Amino acid sequence: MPRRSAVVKGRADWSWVLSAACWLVLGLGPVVAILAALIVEPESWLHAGPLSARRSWLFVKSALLAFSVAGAASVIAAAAAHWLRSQGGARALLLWLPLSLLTVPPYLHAAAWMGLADHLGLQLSGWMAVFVIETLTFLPLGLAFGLAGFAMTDRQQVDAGRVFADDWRVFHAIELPQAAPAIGIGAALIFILAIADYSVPALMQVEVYALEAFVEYSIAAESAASLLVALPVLLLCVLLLVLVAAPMRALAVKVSFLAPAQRPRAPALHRGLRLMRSGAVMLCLAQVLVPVVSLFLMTPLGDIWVIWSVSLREIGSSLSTSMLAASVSVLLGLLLAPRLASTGWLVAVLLPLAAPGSLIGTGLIVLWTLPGLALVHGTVVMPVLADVARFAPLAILIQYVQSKRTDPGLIEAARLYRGNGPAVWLKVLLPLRAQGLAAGFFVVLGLSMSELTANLLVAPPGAQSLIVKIYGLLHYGASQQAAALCLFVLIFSMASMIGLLLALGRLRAANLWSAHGRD
Amino acid sequence: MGWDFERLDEVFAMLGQTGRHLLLHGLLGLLLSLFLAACDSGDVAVEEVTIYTSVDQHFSEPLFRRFEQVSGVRVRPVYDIEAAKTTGLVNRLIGESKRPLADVLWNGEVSQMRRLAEHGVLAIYRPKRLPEGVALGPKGRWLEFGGRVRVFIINRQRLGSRPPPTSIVDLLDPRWQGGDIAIAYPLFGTTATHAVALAEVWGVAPTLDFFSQLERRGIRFVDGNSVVRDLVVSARAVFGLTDTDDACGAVARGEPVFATFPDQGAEGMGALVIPNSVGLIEGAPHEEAAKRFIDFVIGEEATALLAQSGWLYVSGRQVVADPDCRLPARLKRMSLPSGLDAEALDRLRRDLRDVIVR
Repeated sequence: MPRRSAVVKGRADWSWVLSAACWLVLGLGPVVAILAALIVEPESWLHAGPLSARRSWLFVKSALLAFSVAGAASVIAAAAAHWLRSQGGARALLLWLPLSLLTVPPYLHAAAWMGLADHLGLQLSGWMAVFVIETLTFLPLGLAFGLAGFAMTDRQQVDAGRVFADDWRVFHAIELPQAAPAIGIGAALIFILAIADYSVPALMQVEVYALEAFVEYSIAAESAASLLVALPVLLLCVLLLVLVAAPMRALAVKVSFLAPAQRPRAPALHRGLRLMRSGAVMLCLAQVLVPVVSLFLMTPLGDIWVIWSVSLREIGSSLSTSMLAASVSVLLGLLLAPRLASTGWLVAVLLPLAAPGSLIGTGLIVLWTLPGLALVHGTVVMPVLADVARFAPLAILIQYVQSKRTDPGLIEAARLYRGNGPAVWLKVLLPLRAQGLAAGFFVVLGLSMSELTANLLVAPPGAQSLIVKIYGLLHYGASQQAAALCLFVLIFSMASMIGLLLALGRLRAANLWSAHGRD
Repeated sequence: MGWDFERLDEVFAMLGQTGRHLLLHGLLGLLLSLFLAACDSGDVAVEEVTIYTSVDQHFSEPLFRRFEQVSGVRVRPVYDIEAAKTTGLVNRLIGESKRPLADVLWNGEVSQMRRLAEHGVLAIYRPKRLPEGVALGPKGRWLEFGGRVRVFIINRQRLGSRPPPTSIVDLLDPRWQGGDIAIAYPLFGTTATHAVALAEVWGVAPTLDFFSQLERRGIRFVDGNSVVRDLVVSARAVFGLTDTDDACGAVARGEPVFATFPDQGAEGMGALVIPNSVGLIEGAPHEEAAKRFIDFVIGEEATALLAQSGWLYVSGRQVVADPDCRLPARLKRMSLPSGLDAEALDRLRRDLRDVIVR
């Protein structure tokens, strides 16, 4: 027995080393490269400037703003998601539309709402305006995690609870705690995106810490110095992710694996709560309608084919890069998701998520111009690596959550009868994890399509991405062409989402709310 | 029909656990290798040149196409965007200096060239013939040609019957509310160049005081010149300070705005002209093609093309722009004593950061 254990342990360590090597290169590589540069060139510390009282106060204000945005967007989205999951038919299907807006840049969301405010004679400026616009901008993201959260609730526990207590108590004591991990992850992600964004605050005449970090990057031209300025944000994001991930890990395993694929009965809640949910749904719908309608109004529909056809190269470049990044991320998820049970691995996997895109891009240049590694630099692999480093943590996290919700008894039974061969992988493991794979693929695909800062630094010559072209058109003032290309991104996002749902055989609205589909 | 999973199981059983892990990792490696194979898709028979440019794609792409026609050299461009404040490409070039990909940097301004020269990114190149209006940068590390002009863009409806601003110091005029005026952060792009120019004319301390007063007045410091233009076009600001390409583009599209040159009076210091710059990259992989492009872009044909498209407003002492912009034909230029050394410029930028970003 001891000898057999040692052999098994030795194999496990070998696999651990391979997984660690993969992540060290693909995930942590850029950040490690920048940190190494910081050690090699310690004079960069001097250029970063001190964390003065002004800078500290700006950091606190920016963090509070991001917290407020994340909190408000998540609460509104959760309220809307709770109502949506009790709806059936076309209504249920249509309300997945907000997810397809994930790829539309915040700048366009803000521009659409500012256009509406102008139309109504309202002037949007100041911290409150930033709070409102960013909350609305990140609502689709919050909604996605809200829907996922409530899909994870155990119907049997809810139904049993309703026998003994009123709906509000059941919602408060059973549904919300079970949905909270996913909602919390969504809130953490919104926080990260909000604290890193300075485009919307700049439009509203508000200075935030993200701009400070960018200014440092611009003035010093030393990534190590800007890393030091960005360090408080990085540490706060990592701390937040760890705090959110820990309860998520504990709660995910408590979810029952025997939930039926049924739409839940609409709960009887207080009038005030019903009104709040309805208001949240209206806000979500407005957040879909305002950008979409404004995009359609801005797009010269008669010329749309011409605009798309002259941008085919950029469209192809973005699509291929994003799809490759999504594929690699999903493969990394298969490798690394089981390891997230360890806190060390969890931090290591989530760390790149908190790094600014400009640092990831510069880190990739530093890493892949090292002697012996220079083969990749300047090729189409670089933007793929950038997208993987930035977004693969999400795919891995999603697969980890999904794997926690997979009945281990099914896998044990399959392995007992079939061993650990491809039949088990193809017929049992992959179908059981199909939702996690698909969700991870789609999330990385969508985010990669709109990734700008890292790709700008590593895009190979002659292979411009669609988002760079869109920003270029916006700068020139060609808002109609930019709107037409954004519309393409929107349609592509919707089509790929529907395609995934079809592929999973889950287009029926009733199944959308089930965490387990064909269980 | 279908896969014989059982047979595959037998094969996999022979591999053992370690073998299966290796296979999975190998598949990942294979995928990466396929990407690598896809990288080298260029036609080696065609001569090519890699050009990094901060000039908007709308203006630079037609010029690249024309250069391809006349030279037979294929252009592989990398564009910057305003959101990256030109620093995206500059930082990329510095990062890539040990293994350059770029052959040429064509910059819409000059302020970042000095930094690149300091980092050893730019090589010395002196064309055999310098067309009129083209100037060599320090030590021949870059060439300056053409130029855009800093202008006021003004919304007709918001201005009403009031007289328009005529000088940079009108930004401090109490007849305008702070929110009526928009300028880009003087930390990036051409507005940073403008701040440096003011410091050369006025001195560093008065310039810092000027921007400090602007900040206290609540002037709208925004994300870039195009945002200034958009704010004025949408009547959210009465006027703003931007470049001719942004202002003239809006005028040409029929927006309710017009442009004027600042400080054109007898005592005025003149309007700032910001030339384009182009430099050869040290260790450029395609040096000869790069030199051919540099010779082309500073030449008469390119100047005419860029002026026609609205990118260049002046060339040398001449105004070459399209008359659609309806700016005065005569231009009084700001003359710069070039008195600030590199250290003073860096200190100015950091001081401006402390004044503005708070």
